Amino acid sequence: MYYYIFAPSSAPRGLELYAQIKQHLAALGIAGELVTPSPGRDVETLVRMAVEKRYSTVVAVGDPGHVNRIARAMENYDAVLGIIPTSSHPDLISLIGTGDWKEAAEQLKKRRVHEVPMGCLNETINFLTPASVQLGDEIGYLGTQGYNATIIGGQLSVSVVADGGKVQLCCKVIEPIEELRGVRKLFAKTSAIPDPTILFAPAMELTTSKNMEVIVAGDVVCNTPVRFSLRPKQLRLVASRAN
Amino acid sequence: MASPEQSDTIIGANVELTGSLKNQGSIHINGKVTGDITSDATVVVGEQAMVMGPIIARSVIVSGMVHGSIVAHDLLELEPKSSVQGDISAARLNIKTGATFNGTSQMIGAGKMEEGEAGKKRPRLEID
Repeated sequence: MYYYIFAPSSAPRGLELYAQIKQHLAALGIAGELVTPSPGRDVETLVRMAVEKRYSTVVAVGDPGHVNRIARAMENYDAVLGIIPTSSHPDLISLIGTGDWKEAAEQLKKRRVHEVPMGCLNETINFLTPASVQLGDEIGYLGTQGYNATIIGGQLSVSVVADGGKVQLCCKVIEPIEELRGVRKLFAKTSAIPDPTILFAPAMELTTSKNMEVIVAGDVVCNTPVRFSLRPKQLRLVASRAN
Repeated sequence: MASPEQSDTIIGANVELTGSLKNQGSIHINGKVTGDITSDATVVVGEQAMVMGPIIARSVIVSGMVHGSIVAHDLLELEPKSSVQGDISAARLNIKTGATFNGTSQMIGAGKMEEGEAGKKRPRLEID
C-alpha cells in the first residue's frame, strides 16, 4: 500500500534517523516498499514504478526539496502523497500539520486524505512549498489581471493560500533586512522592520531586467520571466487537517 | 487604527502599483498606488504612501496622500499630516488637526450601505 521514497543521505545521523523511521513504520504495521533515488533510478522513475506496482500512496521521506520533487513527479498520476519530514520545517508543518516524523508516520496509518492546492510555474512545474526569487537590488515587475506592481529589491516568494474557501496565490516581498538595519543605524531611525508587501491574485507574472533563478525548497526550477498560476488539479495528500 | 498585521493586502514602501486593486480583506498601503482601490474592509493609507485614484471601502484611514475621491461606507479618518485632494463621502467622518483636505464632502446614510446595526447609526462629522 505504501511506497516510501527516502531522500538520499550518507550522513551517519541521517542514516540513523532512517533506521528509526523504518523501525517505527514496521511497528505501526505500515511498512511498505522502501527505496532511495540513485543516478540510475531518479525520483520520476521511482514514482512511475510505484504507480505501476499499484501502490496507492507514495510517501516522501525527507526535506521540503525532496517532497517537492516527488510532488512534481506525481503530476500525471492519481496516487496519494504522504510526507514524513526529517526536519521540522515550517513549510511542511503548514502542509501536514506536524514537523515531527513520528506524528507524521501515525497520520499515514490513519490515512486521512485531503485535497491540497498546488502552484504551477510556466504551466509545467508544480510547486507545493513557496517558490521564491531573490531580487537583490533588481527591480521586479509583477503583473496580474487587475494590476501591475513594480517591486524594488527584496526577496519575493509566491505560495498557494486558501482563504475563506477561495484558493489563490499570495506573493510576499520581504525587504533585505540586514541591509536595512545598516541603513537605519546610519540614519539613526527607528529599528522597526518595514512591512512586507503581500499581494493576492489567481495568477501572476514576474519579469526582471535579467534572468533570475526561481527556487523551490532549495532547487532552482526555472528562471524569470515566470508565470505563477494555480494547478487545475489538486494534490491528494495525507495530512492531519485540510490546510 | 488597523495595524499592518491585520491587513490582508499590504503594499510595501518599495512597491509601486498601477491598476485596479480589489480585495475582500483590508488593504494597507505604504508605497505608491495609481489606480482604483476597492475593499470590503478597511483601507489604510500610511504616512509615506501616495494614492492617485479613487478609494472605495467600508472604512478608510488616511495618514499619507490621496489624489482622488474617497467613499467610506462607514468611517473615514483623516489623520494629522494627511493630505486629500478630492471629494469624500462617508457615513462617519473624522478630520484631525493638521490634515489637509481640498474637495467637497458628503455625509452618506450608513443605513443605505448596510442593513442592521450600521443602519441605525446616524451620519456623524467630527472635526478635532
